[in-house]
Amino acid sequence: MVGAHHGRRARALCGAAAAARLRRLVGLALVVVSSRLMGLQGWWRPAVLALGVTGVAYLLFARWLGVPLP
Amino acid sequence: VSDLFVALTPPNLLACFIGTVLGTVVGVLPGLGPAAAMALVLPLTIKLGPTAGLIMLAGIYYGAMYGGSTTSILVNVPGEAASVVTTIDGYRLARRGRAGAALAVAAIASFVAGTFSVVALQLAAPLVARAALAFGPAEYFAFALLGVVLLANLTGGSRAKSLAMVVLGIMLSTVGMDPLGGTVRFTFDLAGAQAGLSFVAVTAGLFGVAEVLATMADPASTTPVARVRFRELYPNREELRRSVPPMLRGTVLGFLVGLIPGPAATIASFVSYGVEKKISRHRDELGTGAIEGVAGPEAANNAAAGGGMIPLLSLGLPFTPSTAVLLSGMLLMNVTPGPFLLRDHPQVFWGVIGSFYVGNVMLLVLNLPLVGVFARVATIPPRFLMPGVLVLCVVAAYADNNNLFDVWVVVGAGIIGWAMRALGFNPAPLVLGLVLGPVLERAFLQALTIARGEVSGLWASGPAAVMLAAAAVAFVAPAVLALARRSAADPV
Repeated sequence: MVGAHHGRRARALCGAAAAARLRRLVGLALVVVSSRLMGLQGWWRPAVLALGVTGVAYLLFARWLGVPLP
Repeated sequence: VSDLFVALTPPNLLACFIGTVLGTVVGVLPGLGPAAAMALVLPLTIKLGPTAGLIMLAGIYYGAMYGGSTTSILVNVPGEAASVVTTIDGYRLARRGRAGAALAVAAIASFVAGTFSVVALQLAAPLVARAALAFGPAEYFAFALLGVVLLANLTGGSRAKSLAMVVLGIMLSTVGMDPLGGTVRFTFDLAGAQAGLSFVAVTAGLFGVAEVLATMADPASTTPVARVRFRELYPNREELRRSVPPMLRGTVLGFLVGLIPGPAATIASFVSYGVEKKISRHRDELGTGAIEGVAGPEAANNAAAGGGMIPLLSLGLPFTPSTAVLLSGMLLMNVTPGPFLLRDHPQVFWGVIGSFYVGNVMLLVLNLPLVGVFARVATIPPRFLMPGVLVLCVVAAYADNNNLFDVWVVVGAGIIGWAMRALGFNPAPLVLGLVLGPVLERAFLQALTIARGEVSGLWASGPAAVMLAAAAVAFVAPAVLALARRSAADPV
């Protein structure tokens, strides 16, 4: 009984961690897709741009201003 | 008055400098408004003591007003609610390679208006504050209604479309909790919608995300702005000459609007734009990238910020969220604002007033040299710049209330804003409705409560009746005049 409860809790925690990682990837994907739609060629440049933009947004809002980003 | 020089002591100068820099950064970043930033640094300011602490808080307040125009001009995303109007002409100026001129005029207008409001604050504080208190809910409702009718068509074009946008804005403002009764309305059982639609999310969507979507839909339509030479970076003589009258008009209007309760800085910028649209010599150019569309509203919102300090310092009444944080800071530092502030804490009163002068000079000195750096942002090709704007809009919408629902609002508002552009609707009147909607509703309900449910209570006082009659005339007159003109041109 206790084991099943712990199992459910562990699965819920894993699910929450996976969702948080997925949300971070959404930001990257948003920049890649939008820059491609705006005419940026290839995959390397959109990927580097996505990493740069999300990195700056994270440093500025989450680290410096203390906004608890999801 | 010798206490005025308290602001020039090194600790107070440093507090003023940190406050104005922080305020400028907060103004530039959409999402984190001055009230939130002031609340964040409140614990630090308490350690600094009353004079330096309040100087820093006030620096954040007017620094944010100053910085709010930067992203409006460069990337069409209002950094602050009061800068929405600046996007109309500021962004078009930036697309024409005049970003530097627009930013410099915004800085100069803010400086002129800020300085004027400080002088007026010193001379007229108690007198004007008492006059402003004569405004009850009925008068305020009539004033807001008159504002809606007069300003609805401020961007020109179809009057019907503008009025439809204002009404949509007022309807959207009713989402969430009823301001007096607490009843939850139009939320469709979504917990995130109970606080209402975030103003930041709606404006970031309507302006910023819509701009990104328009670029995505037709990447060839948005060409990068060519780099300009250094001497073309700043406003030329003609632009400066054209900026002076709207700057002065915006300053006086903004100061007067700042005395009235509510989102004064935002309303002041709309009023100033509306006035320019009616009386400016270059009114036909407004909406297409006219410098008057930057100078007037920027002066107005900064003067309103100064005007808003009068009820706070002389009566202890905060009319905006930012002045409410300033009031809580004062109370935490054992300084009670009101009629006895000058007697009990002259150093604090005159120190804060003196810091306004110093802070305005600091902001001008800090911002004018940065114009060139900011203007370069407009020359970044859209395919590199716009994805960053998109992320900024989404993060700003979330950061406003730490609410994921606002992320959906920014996306939805972006799609609607893009469709509105395609159909020839301007989003600025919608924003006006969104700002004035809660003001109208609260004043209407309060006036009815005072009159015990009698509708006649809305026009019982003379000023309210005059303003309501003026609103009715302003609403009907254009249609009547158009009909008369049509029948004169086409007699049967």
